[in-house]
Amino acid sequence: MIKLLLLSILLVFFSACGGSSASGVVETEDNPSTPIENDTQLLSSAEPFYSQQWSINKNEAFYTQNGIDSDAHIHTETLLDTYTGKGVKIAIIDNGLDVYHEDLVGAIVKTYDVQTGGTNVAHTLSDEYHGTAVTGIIGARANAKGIKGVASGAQIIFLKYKESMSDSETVALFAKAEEFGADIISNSWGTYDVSQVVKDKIVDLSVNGRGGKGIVIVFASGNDDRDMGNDESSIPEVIAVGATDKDNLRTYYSNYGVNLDVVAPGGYYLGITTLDDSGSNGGSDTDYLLYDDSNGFIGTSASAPIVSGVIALMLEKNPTLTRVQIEQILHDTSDKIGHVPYRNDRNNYYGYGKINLSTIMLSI
Amino acid sequence: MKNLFILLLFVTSLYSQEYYYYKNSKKVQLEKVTSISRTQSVVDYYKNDMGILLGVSDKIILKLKLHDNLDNYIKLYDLHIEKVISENLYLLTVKDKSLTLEIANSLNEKEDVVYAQPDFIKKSLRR
Repeated sequence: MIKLLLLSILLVFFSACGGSSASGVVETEDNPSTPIENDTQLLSSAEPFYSQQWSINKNEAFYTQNGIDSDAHIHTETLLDTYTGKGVKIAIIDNGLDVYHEDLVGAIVKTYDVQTGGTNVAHTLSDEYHGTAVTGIIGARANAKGIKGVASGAQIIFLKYKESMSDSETVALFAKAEEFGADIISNSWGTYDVSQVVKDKIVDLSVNGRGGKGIVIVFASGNDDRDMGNDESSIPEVIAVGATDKDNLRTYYSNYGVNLDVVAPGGYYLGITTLDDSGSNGGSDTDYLLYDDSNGFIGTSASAPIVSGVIALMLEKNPTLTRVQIEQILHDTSDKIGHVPYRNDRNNYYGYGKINLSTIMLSI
Repeated sequence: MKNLFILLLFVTSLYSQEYYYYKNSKKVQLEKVTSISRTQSVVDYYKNDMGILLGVSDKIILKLKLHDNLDNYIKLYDLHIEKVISENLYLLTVKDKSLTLEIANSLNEKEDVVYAQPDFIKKSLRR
C-alpha cells in the first residue's frame, strides 16, 4: 500500500515536470508553442511598454510629451482588459516568426512554411523581423513582459510565405489557414497584381468559410501613396486598411482607392511599438521595436493587424457575426477624420474612416 | 498529331515577338525581361502593363467548367497534372517552359475553360 502511494506521488511529480520547458511552452512537432492559459489576465498597465503603445493606449504623459493628437488612438478605453479575442483563431501570413519570443508564449497554435511544407517558420535571414512585429501587434500576451497585443488572448496561426511566391503557393497558404480553422486572416503584404485564381480563393473563403459565416480577410493597403489598383487589398470582400499617424491623419504613404475600407494607426514620425525577433536577431539588439527606434515599425503593415485584432474582439463578443456584418459594423462605426468630405460615408483616402473600438463594441 | 500540334506551338512561339496572357478574358501584354531570364533557368521573367515583374515557370493553372475534356487537353498539350487544387481547378506542368504562355493562351480559347494562366511567380511586398 505504501509502495503504491509512493508510486502515485512519483507519477504526479513527473507528470507535472515533464513536457514543458521553463518558459511554459509545450513543444510538439505540429505546435511549436501550444497554448497554456494564464490563470489570471494581467491588466494592460502591467506591460512595461504599454505607455508607449499610443495606437491603443492614450497615456496622457506620453501623448503630451510627443505632441500626439488626443484622438490618434483607437479608443480602447478599458476594453482590452475585458476582451482578449479568447476563442478566436487569427491566421497571419508573413515572412517569418520568432515563435519563442517571450511575449508570444502560449499564443501560437499552428505554423506552416509554404516553401518547405514544414512547421519551422523562423525568419530566413537573421536581420528580418516583419512577421514577428505584425504578430506582436495582434497577439502579444498579457504577461507583464513587454507589450500587449490588441487580441492578447487570441490563438495565432502563423503561415510563412515566400518573398517570390507562385499563385498556387498563395492559394495553398489560404487553404492552410482554412484547414487550421482560422476565423480571421491578417495580411500585411500584397503584390499589386492579384491573379484570378488567388482572387477566387479569397472570395470563396470570405463568402463560404467559417461554416458559411465567412472568414474575415484583412489586407494592408500598401505604403506607396498610390491607388491600390489591382492589389489583393482591392478585392471587395477583403477588409482593406490604410494608415494614420500621430496627428490622426492619413499618413502620406498610405495607399488609397475605391475599395479602401478603414484606416488605423500605422505611424510615421512615431512608430508602433511591437515585438522584434529575440536577442541579436531582427531589427534591433533588444526583443522589442520601440516607438522611437531608428528602424521602428511603421506602415499599413502595422495598421492591418490592429484591425485584425479588433475583429477578434468583435468575434469574442459575438461569434455569430458574419463577415458581411463585421464589414458593415466597421463601416458604420468608424470616425470620419481628416477634414475631408465623406460622400455616402466614405472617402477614397480614409475609406469609411478610422476604427473606434468603443463604438464598435457598443454596436454589437 | 499531338507532336505536330506542340511543334506548331513551339514554332509560333519562336517567331512571335508578342507576349501576352489572358486575365478576365482580356489580353494583358507582357514584355520579356531578358536581363534576368536565362535559357537554363526554370523561370522566365516578364513585366506586365503595370510594370509588375511576373515569373513564368513550366506550371499552368487551369479552371474548367466541367472536367470532361481534361484528359483531351492533357493529351493535346502534353501536360501533366501536378495537383488538383480544388474541384475543376488544376495545377498542370508543361514539357517545355518556353511554351507555357502559348499553351495557357490556347487553352483560354476553349469554350469549357473558365480561365487558364501561367502559375505566375510574384513578389510579395511587405508593407
